[in-house]
Amino acid sequence: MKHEGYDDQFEAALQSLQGQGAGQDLTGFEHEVWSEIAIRDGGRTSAGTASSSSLPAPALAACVVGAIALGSLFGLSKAQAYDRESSLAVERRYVESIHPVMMSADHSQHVHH
Amino acid sequence: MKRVTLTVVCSLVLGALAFAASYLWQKHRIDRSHAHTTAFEWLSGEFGLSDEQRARIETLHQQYFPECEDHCIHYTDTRQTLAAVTNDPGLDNSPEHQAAATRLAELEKEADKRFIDFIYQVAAEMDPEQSQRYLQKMKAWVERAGELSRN
Repeated sequence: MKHEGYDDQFEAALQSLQGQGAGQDLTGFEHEVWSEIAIRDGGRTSAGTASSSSLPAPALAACVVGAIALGSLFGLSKAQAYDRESSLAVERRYVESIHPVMMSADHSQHVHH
Repeated sequence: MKRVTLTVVCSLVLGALAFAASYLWQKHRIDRSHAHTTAFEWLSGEFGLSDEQRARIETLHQQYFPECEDHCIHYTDTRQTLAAVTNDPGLDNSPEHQAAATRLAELEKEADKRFIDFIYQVAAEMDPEQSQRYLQKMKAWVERAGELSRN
């Protein structure tokens, strides 16, 4: 409880001093104290911002590994579809060599192209 | 917040790069293998033919090719005749038109029959399981050939 009282007084004094602005005359001691407070306050704020905006190392690693794994998986599945299409094209070539109607269609395609 | 966004963007870029790398690598491998594959090599590989089966089936194909090519030439000629007759307004519904259309339909039927006879001969040389698979695949093309002749 005591501490809360001190904290309130400190906050009030801090606000009143800050309200006076930089242009107010401060004694050398007061100036040093405020400079010290400003330096410590700034350091604490920037450290807090950095820790809240960066991801922990395991999460970062999981993101990278997950992205690479997913990308590779999609790539391989797309390649599999491409393999099926290519295989069907070779199969068609085979059928065109043994079915007269398909063979004729193949010939006419060659003539037209 | 900026670092989280940066991490997400970097992960997306890495994912896209991984996708492109794996797809292009596999595509290159597939293209290279298919570019040098003849139709007969595809048949051998697809249905796991032994050397003996391969030799017997190759002989069947060599015997069948001239007959198939003759039929193909005959079919192409008839189709061209029918197209010429169809484009001539004076011959619309004429006996020539009817004859060419009938002949073309006969040749299509005959082509399907020859094709089916041939694939059964080839299938007879294969292992039972592969033989069924071969027939199933080839019969699916008969329908496609029919669609092709109608277009």
